[in-house]
Amino acid sequence: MGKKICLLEDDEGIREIIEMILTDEQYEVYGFSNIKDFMAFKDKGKQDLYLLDVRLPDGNGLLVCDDLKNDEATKKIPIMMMSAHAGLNEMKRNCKAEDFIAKPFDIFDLLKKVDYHLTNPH
Amino acid sequence: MENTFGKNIIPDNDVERVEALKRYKIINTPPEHCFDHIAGLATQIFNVPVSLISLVDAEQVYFKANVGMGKATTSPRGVSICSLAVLDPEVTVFENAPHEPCLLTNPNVAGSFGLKFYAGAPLTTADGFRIGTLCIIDKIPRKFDANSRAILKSMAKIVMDEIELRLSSISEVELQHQLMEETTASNEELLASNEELIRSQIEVGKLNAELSETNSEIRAANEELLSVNHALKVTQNSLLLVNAKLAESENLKNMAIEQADLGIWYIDADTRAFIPSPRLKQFFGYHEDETMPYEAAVSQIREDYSAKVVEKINEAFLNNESYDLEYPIIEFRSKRQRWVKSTGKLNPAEKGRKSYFSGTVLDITEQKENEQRKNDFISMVSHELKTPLTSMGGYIQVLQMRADKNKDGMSGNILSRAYIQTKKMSTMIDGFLNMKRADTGKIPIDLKLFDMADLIKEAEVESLATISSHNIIFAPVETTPVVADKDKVGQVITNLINNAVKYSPLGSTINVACIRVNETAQVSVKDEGMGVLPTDQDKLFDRFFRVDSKQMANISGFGIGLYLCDEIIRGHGGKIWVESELGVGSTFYFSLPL
Repeated sequence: MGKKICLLEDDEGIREIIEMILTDEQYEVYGFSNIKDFMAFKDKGKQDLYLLDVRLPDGNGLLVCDDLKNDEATKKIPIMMMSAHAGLNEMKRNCKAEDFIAKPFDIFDLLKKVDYHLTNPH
Repeated sequence: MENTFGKNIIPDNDVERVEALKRYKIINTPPEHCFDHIAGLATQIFNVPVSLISLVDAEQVYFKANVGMGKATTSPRGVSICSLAVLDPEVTVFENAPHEPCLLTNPNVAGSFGLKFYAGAPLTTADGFRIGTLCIIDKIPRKFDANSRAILKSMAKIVMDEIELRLSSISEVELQHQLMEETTASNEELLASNEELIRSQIEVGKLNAELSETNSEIRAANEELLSVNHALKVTQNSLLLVNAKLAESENLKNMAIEQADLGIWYIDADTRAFIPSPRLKQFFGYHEDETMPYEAAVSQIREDYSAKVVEKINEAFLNNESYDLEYPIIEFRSKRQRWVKSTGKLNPAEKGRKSYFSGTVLDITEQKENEQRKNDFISMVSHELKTPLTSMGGYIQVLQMRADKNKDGMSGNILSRAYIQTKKMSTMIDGFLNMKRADTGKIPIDLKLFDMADLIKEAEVESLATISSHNIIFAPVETTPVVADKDKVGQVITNLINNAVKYSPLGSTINVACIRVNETAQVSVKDEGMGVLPTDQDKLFDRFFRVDSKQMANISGFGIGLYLCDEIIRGHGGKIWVESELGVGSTFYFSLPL
């Protein structure tokens, strides 16, 4: 079985396409559309990578990132933040996530970054 | 006084008598024909050798006429027998003198002359004084009867008349003389007066001339005064007009200030006192009658803006420039936030006025809030647009992969074009988002050390991959390390190249270069396009500015690209500008400090 990737993205279209290409690349993808469901996911700590959107209907992805990084069980799992927000640089300064990707993204860029973080564990 | 007569010869009224004699002005005067004639007549009438007309003065007896007595003209009063004769109003007669007791020692009688007879009639004045005698003398004794006495007395009266006549003629002559003298004197005086008059006249003439000169001067002065008066009236009218206009303009100004809701202030050049208008005080939360010191106003600028605003204001005053700033202030009591647009400048000294600082403060809170709402809207819309764009791009790319796997070249080609369009749309949305950020004054600049040569290389790779319509030539770039935001600077280069492509003909050449100039890295993008009018060149970097021309009508754009480039480069402390010639081409430059 391939590596496990947990995806938190409220937009169905984006969630679908990401799931589609990652599955196509033999990754095991768990998709969530809101923070509540994501936080309730029992196998959170057994993931290899988190892909988190920033703007979510029930909260801010950056805070989710903080929670994950402050949790012993999850803090070593790399996180990639995704945002349509233009202020990515600013975001980078205040967030402990390993990587950031701006929407709209090139799927090849996304795949490259995902592959990088899965093959170079931190 | 000698007295030969042995008795008193001085009458009681002698003083008055002598005075009366003197009145006739006859004493001690030369002989006169008429008196000599009367005396002569007496000697003939009475047949005597001597006749005298004597005048008895205080001391002497004067003989006015003397016939037969030698050259004698006077005789002492005490000797002359006439002194006795004036004592008696009647004729005094001595018929045989040597027998007269009073004449015994008289020299005339006892002496060699041998006088024997004497008869004397007094000369009596109209007022009764006996001033002298007409007398006859003989050396023999004689009888003198009453008739003779009467004749002598009458003759004495004739003498007296003559004396009176003489006096009156003398008086006449004297009067004439006096008159003449007076006339002469008057004449002289008149002459003198005349001369004086002539002199005066000359003086008067001179004065007159002077006066007429003065007069004409006064007239001229008067005329001048009149014209000055007229001019003054005209000036006054103009001043009144100007005043009215000033009042009107002051009114309009105040209306404008009120309408514009402007707060104004100035700093007095002398006292350096900060004087804010009532409206300005309101902006800062003060009452109209409260004092608002400059320091207090400055301290109310919101903390994150304060230092920068103060620095810019000080800089403007120091360099004699004006400033135009927007910043939030916190109201004094309510602590409510208010956005203001503040301008200020140094007004240089003019005639009669020192230099002073002045400025305006405009409340732009509402405008700022609207802007914020607009920005929030843009942000929201952009974000919302990006979301479907992301999945759309993803789907297209997945399809593209499938097409490649299935060797479906046609589909792959179409899909790759579709993907380019989504990229374009994405860039456009980024532009809107960035513009919003530039508006709020915070395009984030993430400074990192990198080599400009690398950045230019990346731009070259990207443009070669995406642009086939133009011949883009990248000049070789030396290693040029800069501290800047690589992504943002790259965005500027891409923007300039895309613009060059957009505004120059198909197949034309675009030159890109990066060189070191005066401690800066200077990037240039040169095209062979339509060029920009000099009047439009400065405005190119304004937000939403688009050159208004027929050629531009077919080229789309929002007028935000160069505005953002300008914001980014200025955010680095750099400079962006254009050199262009209409119909020949443009070269866009930007420089970053090394």
